[in-house]
Amino acid sequence: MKTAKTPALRSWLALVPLSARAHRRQNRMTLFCIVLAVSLVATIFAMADMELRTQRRTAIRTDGNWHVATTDLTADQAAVVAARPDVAAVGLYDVANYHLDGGYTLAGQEVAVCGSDTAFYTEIFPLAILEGRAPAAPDEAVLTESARRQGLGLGDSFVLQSPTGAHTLTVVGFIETTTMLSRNDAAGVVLTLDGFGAVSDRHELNVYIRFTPLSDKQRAIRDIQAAFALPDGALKENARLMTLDLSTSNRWLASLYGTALVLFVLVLAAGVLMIAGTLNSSVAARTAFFGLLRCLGATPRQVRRYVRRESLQWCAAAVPAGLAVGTLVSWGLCALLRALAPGYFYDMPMFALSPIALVFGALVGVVTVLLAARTPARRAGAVSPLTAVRGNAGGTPPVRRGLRRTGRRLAWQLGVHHALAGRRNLVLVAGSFALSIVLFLAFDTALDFFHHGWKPVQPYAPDLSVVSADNTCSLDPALQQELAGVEGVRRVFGRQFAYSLPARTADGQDLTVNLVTYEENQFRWAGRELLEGAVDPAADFTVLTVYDPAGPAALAVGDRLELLGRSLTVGGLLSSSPLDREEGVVLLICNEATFAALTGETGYTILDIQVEGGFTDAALEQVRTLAGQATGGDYVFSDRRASNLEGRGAYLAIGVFFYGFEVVIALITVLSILNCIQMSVSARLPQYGAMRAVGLTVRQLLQMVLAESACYAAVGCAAGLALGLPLHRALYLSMITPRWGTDWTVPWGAIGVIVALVAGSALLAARAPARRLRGLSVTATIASE
Amino acid sequence: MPILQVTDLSKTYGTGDAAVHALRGASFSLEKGEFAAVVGESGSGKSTLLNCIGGLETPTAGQVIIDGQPLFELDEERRTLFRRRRIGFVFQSFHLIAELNVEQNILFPLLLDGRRPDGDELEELLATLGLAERRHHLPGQLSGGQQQRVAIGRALMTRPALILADEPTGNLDRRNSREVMELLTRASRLYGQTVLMITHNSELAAGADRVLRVSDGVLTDLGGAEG
Amino acid sequence: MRALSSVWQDRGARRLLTGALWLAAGLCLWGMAGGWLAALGAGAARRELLEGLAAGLLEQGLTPGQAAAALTRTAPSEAGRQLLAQMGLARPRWPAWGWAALGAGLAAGLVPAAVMLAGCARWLCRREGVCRARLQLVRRCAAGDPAARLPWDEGGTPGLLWQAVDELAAALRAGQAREHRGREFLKTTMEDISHQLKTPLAALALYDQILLDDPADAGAVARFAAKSAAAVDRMTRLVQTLLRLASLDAGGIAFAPAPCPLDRLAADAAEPLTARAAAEGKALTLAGPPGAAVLCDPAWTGEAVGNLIKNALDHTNPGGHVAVRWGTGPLGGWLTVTDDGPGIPARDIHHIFKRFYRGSAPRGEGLGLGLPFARTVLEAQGGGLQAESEEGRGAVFTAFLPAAPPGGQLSTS
Repeated sequence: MKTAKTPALRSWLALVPLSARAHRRQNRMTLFCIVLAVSLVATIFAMADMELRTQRRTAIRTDGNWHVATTDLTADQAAVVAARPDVAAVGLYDVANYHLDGGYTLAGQEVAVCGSDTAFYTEIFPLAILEGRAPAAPDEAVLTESARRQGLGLGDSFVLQSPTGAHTLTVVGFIETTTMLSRNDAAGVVLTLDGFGAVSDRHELNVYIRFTPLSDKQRAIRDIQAAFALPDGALKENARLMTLDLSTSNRWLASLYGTALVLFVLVLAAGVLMIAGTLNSSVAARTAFFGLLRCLGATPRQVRRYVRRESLQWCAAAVPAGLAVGTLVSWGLCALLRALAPGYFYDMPMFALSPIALVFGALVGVVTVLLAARTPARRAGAVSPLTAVRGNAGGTPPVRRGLRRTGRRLAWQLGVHHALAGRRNLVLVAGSFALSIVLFLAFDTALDFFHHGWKPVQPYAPDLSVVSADNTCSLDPALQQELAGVEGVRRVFGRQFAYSLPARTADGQDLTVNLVTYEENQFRWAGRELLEGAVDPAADFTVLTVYDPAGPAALAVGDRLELLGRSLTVGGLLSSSPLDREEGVVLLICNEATFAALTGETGYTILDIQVEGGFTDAALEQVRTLAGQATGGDYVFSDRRASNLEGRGAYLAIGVFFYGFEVVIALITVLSILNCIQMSVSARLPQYGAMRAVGLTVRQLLQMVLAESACYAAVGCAAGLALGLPLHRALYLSMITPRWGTDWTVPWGAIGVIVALVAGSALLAARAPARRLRGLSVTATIASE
Repeated sequence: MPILQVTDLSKTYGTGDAAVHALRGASFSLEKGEFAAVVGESGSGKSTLLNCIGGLETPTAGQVIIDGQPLFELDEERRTLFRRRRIGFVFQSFHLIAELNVEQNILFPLLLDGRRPDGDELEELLATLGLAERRHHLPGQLSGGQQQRVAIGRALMTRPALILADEPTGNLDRRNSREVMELLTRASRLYGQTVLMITHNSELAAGADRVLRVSDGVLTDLGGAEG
Repeated sequence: MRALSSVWQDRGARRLLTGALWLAAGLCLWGMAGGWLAALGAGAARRELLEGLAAGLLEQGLTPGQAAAALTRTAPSEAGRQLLAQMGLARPRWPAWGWAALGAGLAAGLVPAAVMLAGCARWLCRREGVCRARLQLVRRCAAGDPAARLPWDEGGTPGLLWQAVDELAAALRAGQAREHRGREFLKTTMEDISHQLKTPLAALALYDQILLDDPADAGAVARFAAKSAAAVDRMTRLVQTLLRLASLDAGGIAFAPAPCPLDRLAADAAEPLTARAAAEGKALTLAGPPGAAVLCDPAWTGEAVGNLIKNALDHTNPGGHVAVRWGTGPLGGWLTVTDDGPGIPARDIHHIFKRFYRGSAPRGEGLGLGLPFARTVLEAQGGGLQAESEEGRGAVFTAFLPAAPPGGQLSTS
């Protein structure tokens, strides 16, 4: 007798992969949509995660890796705290001469002096020791890099003058200069705690505490405070790190994740629409197959399960691909950001995996597909087995209303009718168009906000600044010419400041004003921010004022006020200015002649210098020398080149982000309509064949398809604009107008772009099936019924 | 005990003036093991009769009782279950699943039922159908006659009480038609299955035990072999 | 895995499995609760120990910082172990609350055990009830109650069991029906025989009477003797054929199947009729591939084929053509007998396989038993007979027979 052989098919659902293999081409679009949605979410979350990690690293680098600090604990008590199970590390630190005015000098220059234990370097403030090692003995010292200017190297001895006397110390290493020190152009000396005790006359031990990652930090803080009977506020929090470790109710973090979550929901919606459309069409094109399954004995529930299993199978292929693409894209973006703005994104992790991104990406993929598959599954289950028996899948599909009149443009009318008749399809496609338009307009507002607020990109941003040490008009006007003559300097412009002057308006209101001068460049730039009135550099005794809704007086163009015995007229209203706003004080801008007439001063308070790209260090030295000579050393120098560059880089980077996102939205739009038209044409292919047989030309068929496509686009645009413009207006009025006073205008540019995109994609979609329609063999389509 | 009992079956499409009476009060019954043929011109309502008996269409009036179970008292899910387990279908256009090979096609309704297929039974069936060497071929690689034989195998595999054949030889040439008829006859004789076949071709009705004629929706019994 | 999936189809088994799953989940929770209590206890014990240690260390004069460092040390050292050994604490001791914990654990374990036992008992009782109900059903079915229908919508292996029982019942009923039919057949056959014999017997009696009346008339004697002989011959044929049909129906014929080449079969069947064909002016051709062979009893099958050819000759006009073709197909071997006579009218074609049916326009001297006989012989050997004909276009009779196994060997089954 023969041995029983079990046949290969284990379960009837094994038909799903077999069927998928046979229909690979049709499934490509669906797979692509899923991959797109998944990779989009994965990228967004990965970028959010990377940003958080960057922030964390930066926070640790600049502020240190600690959660709370206090000066109310002794060293012994600190050891007890260090033994707590919820405390990861404790570092001790003491500093003197932080304000560089206490008499601690090294070769005449004020230096900051600090003492700490080893735990401080290794755990709390992991400052890189660039050369040498940490101090171990009381007479060993480590200097900041900025001290090299004094001509000191490893192993050299130097004398530190302090209020307690002169101390000889040996240099054993060099560390990075902190941001604060470099801004103030000073150096720092690092000693051991014992060494510090000898040098300094004041002792205030700072205990820095870092908790373990998973502990309840607020509770630990309360415990420590109670256990050591510390007064309220003794334990100061490192707000940034505490926030990043999810331990305070700081809104910034919530807003970041909130933004990501909102984007997630939006992408989910867009993805569901896109994929639902594809799945729907896919099911509609296979009614005969489902009818056959029903005929062979599959219950409606089994057919639904089949469709869902099919969708899950697409997930199984598409989700990993999407996650991989998303990860690669996020790596690419991270690398791009680091390249464009190394200062801002110095700490951005390279080639790191984000578990959150992977989880949410996978979630989006699976949830989207399952949600999108519900309706098609139901439709498939409701297919009657008679569709298989009768042969022609549905025959002539029932139409709710026929064409009212047939005119000469029959093809167009039919096309429009097709589009309007398929309600579900119409909603899906037009819906996805509308969503794209709404998203596009919403992002446009965000971009506007960005444009308004980002200073480093403004034309008035200075690279170097020479500031009067006491904020008076002490800088010699001749210095401006000298500085302008330095090689590599593009432009020098100055401002004169007069603070807290009393003034009176025409209706008797008393005001305090700050008076500032602009010269021709600055007036020109201010012209861009003009809300009302005019900017006229030559107009004497005319001032500009800045829009400030919270200010003491709402000055309008044409108002007169009295200042220092003279009468001034308000000539214009600016939406913003680069100058700082002071609470309760009105800012007035005039030209230099007016200032001289009012105050008699001709010297500058600040000289801003803008340099060319090839500005050398030698030229920088020359600038400093000139400034020093002119002021006798009584000046403050500020070098903003690095931060400006970074700012511009960051602006570019974030611009890339926004535009990238908009490109993806556009892509979704294009794909959606391409897909829909493709499927709609395939579903109606037998009808088209019949029409050809009756006498319609290929051109008329194409016109029909074009009409259908255009109809979808039109409805989508109308819906999108109807929803998007009010949203745009609402966002604009809530975000931008309150701060800068600019009024809302219709964003013709953005509308033009998105409408052009929609129209373009509709046209493209109409052309895609052209080849198929041209090659339509009449008998073949009819015989396939 | 008749295995199929049709009482007063009527089916009307449309309403009012556009009403089409596809079936009018058809009644008959079949005993187990009978091979019945329904003849009539196209449009006479034979397909409607078959679809109603098979539970694919709901009649406007009347009752169908298969093996003691009134078919239209069941809801759609259970009716599909019943159809799957008790009725086998053979169609004019074969209706095989293009992505599955011969073996898998035959086993498909069995798998839908969640039953494990018996290797021995399958071997025997393939031998009877003459498809043993083609078991791994796809329908696209088979001729019309072979495809119809696969369809018959699919109908036989679940050992249904009733086999409904809708113009099984409609798309086949003479020789294949004869072979298909022979298979159906054997099924009813050897396996004791009741076969109800529709054909517009009176010639083929010669081998049937009972012949019923449907004309304009009305069914008349033309008598059986022992009469 | 597959066994599990078919078990899942069965409703009762599903209920048991879900119950077991719930119980397992409950047990897990129970265990977790126990573990949690143990952890709490251990934590409390440790805190007590630490409190004592802290007090002791501070009393001995260590600063809080040193005491904290001492309390948090977890790494053992040789000196420490030595100290513990001197204190007699080297081996772990059974804690005081250990017995209480054991007792509590036992008590805790009894609860799920009780639940499990109760659940099992309940399920078994329910199963018992279901089995009893099914037993009732089967008994009623066996007793022939027509209303007793075995359930068709059970899932899983019980469903298959029901289906097998149903098939068994159906087979039994079919056997009974067959027996009944067999008896009916016999009765009918007897009636047929008596009916069919009535006329020839009456004719025979008449001839006999005539012969007895007038034995001297040699011509009349010869004529009527011939007529009697013909009648006797007819009656013999009738009785023989009917008896053979009856025994075929009853299954009492033992066929001797052997591989028969179809060409030989056709030739043997056609041979006795070639003369008649020639005499009537009808062409009788044989054609087919030489290697085709079928598995059948050559004698019976030959007779059946002969009947077909004879029938064809009966229904062909002079000058007509009777073609015998054969070949092999997927279902085995086939043999067709085609004639181009007037064909069979549509109203007759459904009845041609009925016994004694001779059509609305009977031809020849046939009994009307040729086709039913041929069909029964062919079907009894695993083949079949089909007829196709249209009025005015001749007729085709196709005989199917199982193919001979390759190598020409006799199979034992």
